[in-house]
Amino acid sequence: MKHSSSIYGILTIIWLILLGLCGLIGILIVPIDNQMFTNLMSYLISISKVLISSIAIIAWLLFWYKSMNYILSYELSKNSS
Amino acid sequence: MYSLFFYITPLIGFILTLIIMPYLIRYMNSINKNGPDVFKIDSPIIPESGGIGFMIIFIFLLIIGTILSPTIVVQQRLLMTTIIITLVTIIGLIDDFKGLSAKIKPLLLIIIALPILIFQIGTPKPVLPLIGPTQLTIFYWFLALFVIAIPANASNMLDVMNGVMSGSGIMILLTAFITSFIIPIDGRIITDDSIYYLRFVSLTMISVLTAFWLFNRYPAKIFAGDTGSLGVGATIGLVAIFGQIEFVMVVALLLHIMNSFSIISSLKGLRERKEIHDRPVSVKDGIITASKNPAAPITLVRLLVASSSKTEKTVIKQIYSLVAYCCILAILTAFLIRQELIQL
Repeated sequence: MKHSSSIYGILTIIWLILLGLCGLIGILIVPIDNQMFTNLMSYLISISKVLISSIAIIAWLLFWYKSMNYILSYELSKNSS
Repeated sequence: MYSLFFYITPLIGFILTLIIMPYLIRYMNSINKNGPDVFKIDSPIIPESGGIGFMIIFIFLLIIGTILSPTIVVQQRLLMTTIIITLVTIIGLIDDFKGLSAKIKPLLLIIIALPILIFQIGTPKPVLPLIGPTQLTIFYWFLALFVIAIPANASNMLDVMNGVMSGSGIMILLTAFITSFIIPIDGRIITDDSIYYLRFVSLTMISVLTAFWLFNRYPAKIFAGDTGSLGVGATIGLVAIFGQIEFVMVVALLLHIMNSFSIISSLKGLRERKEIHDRPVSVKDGIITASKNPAAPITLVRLLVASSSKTEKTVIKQIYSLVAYCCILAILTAFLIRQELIQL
């Protein structure tokens, strides 16, 4: 396990972020109270929810990709030294 | 609901696969369908496409399971599974014997998932941790299009060393089977039909795959080929959607997704093997060393040998441990989902 501890770490972080994303989407999917807003406002809020969720998912994937690159360069540098 | 057939099926699958494999090894050698095991010192020639052996038995058991289904809903799901798995096996065979391009293969796997979208067999209410059941009436069916392509390709991309694909497939399907006892059956969101399907399909695949693993484990006597790896991946995808454990299976497949995601993103798209000029690892005297070339694709094996060169056996053990870890995370996720369902 000691040789691949960074991969265990990244898997745990990715899983925790995934759960966090679920929490975020859970907050966002709360139905909009139509009596409080006009139709246009409700429509804009719905689009914003989809946008926020999409941005969060893209950020999660980008983080994943960047951390893979980081781990590889870190492990390779350990090998060189 | 659970007849004698349900309990006998895994045993039949295991025994039939054990019997058929030695014949298949001889047959594949006789038609020269074999290739070198590159991670070994003497690169022995090993028969390929062994996946056809256990996939045929799996399809045979699925047909019997469809005929003897306890309910119409289970029968519909098993029929759909039989058709899709047969098509995936055919695609795998074409890929093994004729070769398919890296872009055509996923496209075909998306096309064969179309019946799920057309007939809408399944429950579009994925249960998520911290949220509970969701209602994705339209979006769910479009996501379902990728339910075969993503796990099948991920399983295919991790079929890199002796027994890795089969061993990890057993662990993931065992996680699915365990999950069926964690998630409560309330009849409204999680139904008896989904749980029966989940237990039957996962247990049947575990049995045939375990028998195959005995021949595929280190040092391998036969390789699974694309027929086997695509078939196992597709089964995991179908178990996820028809067994209503989509999110749990995503977590169990995290390592597979990580491997394929990093390969695809580092290569900037799907590439043929011959198009990849910079290999991720090199092998000398049975020792695997990571490439220091920044242009080489980032693979799981490259990451594992990046800090120090290792033998194949060590890398296989590390991959098994990482898959087991993902399965533990998946079971924890199942408990979080259970909490949400109990509170309803």
